[in-house]
Amino acid sequence: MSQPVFPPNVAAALDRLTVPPLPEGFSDRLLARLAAGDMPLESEAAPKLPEPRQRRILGGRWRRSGFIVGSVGLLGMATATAAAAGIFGEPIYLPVVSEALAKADLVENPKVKAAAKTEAKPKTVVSKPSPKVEPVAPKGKDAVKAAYAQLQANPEFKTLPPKERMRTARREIAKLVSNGAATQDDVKAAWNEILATLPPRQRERIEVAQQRREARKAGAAETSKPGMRERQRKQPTPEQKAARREAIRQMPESDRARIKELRAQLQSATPAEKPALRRELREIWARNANVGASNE
Amino acid sequence: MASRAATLTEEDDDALMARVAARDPQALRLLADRHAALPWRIANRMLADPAEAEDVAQEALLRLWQQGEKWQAGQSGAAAWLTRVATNLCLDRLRRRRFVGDDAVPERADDAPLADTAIEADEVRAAVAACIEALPDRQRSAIVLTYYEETANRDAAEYLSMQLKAFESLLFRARAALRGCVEAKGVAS
Repeated sequence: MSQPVFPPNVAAALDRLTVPPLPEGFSDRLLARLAAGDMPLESEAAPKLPEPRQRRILGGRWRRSGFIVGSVGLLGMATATAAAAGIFGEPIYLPVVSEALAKADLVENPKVKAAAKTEAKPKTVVSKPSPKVEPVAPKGKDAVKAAYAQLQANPEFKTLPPKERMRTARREIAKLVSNGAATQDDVKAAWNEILATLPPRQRERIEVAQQRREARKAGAAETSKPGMRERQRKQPTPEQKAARREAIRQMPESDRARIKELRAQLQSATPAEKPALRRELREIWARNANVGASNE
Repeated sequence: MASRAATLTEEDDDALMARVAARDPQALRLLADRHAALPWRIANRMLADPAEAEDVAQEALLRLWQQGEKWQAGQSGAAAWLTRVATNLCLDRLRRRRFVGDDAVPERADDAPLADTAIEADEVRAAVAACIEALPDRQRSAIVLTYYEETANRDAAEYLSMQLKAFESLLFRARAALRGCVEAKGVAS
């Protein structure tokens, strides 16, 4: 004992409590009791025979907690080892366990597979379609071209009506300009390059519309489309109209009725039917013109 | 006598217990000669009654006789077994004393010739005995086992079927109470 449990004076007093030696004849009296059968009753509230010393595995809260934690840990380690060894199917790579098993030549190290998986991961991320159109990183006309390409790749964009598509494209380009990613000159240059890649018919339409816009901006009075201009050029003068009306009046009744009928049919005819109707009209006019000429 | 002493040193507890299992009374005598002083001392200090102490010592040995057939060799030994049994028999008697009531208990201090002589002979010894007797039962057994019998705390805790920490706490309280009592009686000089 490193430290006395009692002060010396108290210990000295306690040591005075001595016990006399065992009384004489103790063993004889004991054997006499034994011979007389004066045995203690088993049912008496006396202590039981002590159990042989053994470790109490589940005694005490700390021991019990330790036992539970240890059991859970062991179970976890066993499960991890089984998973790494491929008992549950494909071996799973676990940092320490798999390497230990591979070292012991018990199982192949599935590290390569794990690496392949991690490499394949970004691929799937890239291929994932993003519905949201976001400004792209490139600068200048490349930024405009990239934004246009993104819009074209967006299925939602394709379903929009033309005017709405144009508005969306303008909005995206305006964003680029306001962000400083592109200038107006970059937009024009990029647009010219994009136009060069479009089909000729679409390109022509766009160019005409562009010219009209520019002309309008410049204050020009010309607002009609080229086809309209042609049609306007073909429009007869009032004199010509009056002459035509007179010519129709001079036509036979059957021809007049037929012209009226053909004109009505032209209103509702399909483009494929229209040439035949027009041809017939021209024939009627030609026939009557010859009659008119012969009459003159 | 010489042959008996030789037997005491020759045969160990397990061999004697094997003879006890074979119902050899002489083996019990040898065990009593070797170990009876231990339960006697414990009972004497715990009960402060020599007659009762002898009774406890005899009962402990008779129980050892009864358990002879179940004895397992290589365990803690007969001394440890007797210490445990004697301690618990004393605690049991102390409990019974309390339930019977003080009137039914014989005037031990007056009747016991040993106590009388002790009081006459040594006032200090009587005061210490009174202080130990004033302790609660378990505290008393803790002091007797650890201080007088020099039993290790772990073993004493096991004899009393206690957790070690609980026993150490009990022992701490017992020591403090005993020290206070002895100092209060003015016998610690």
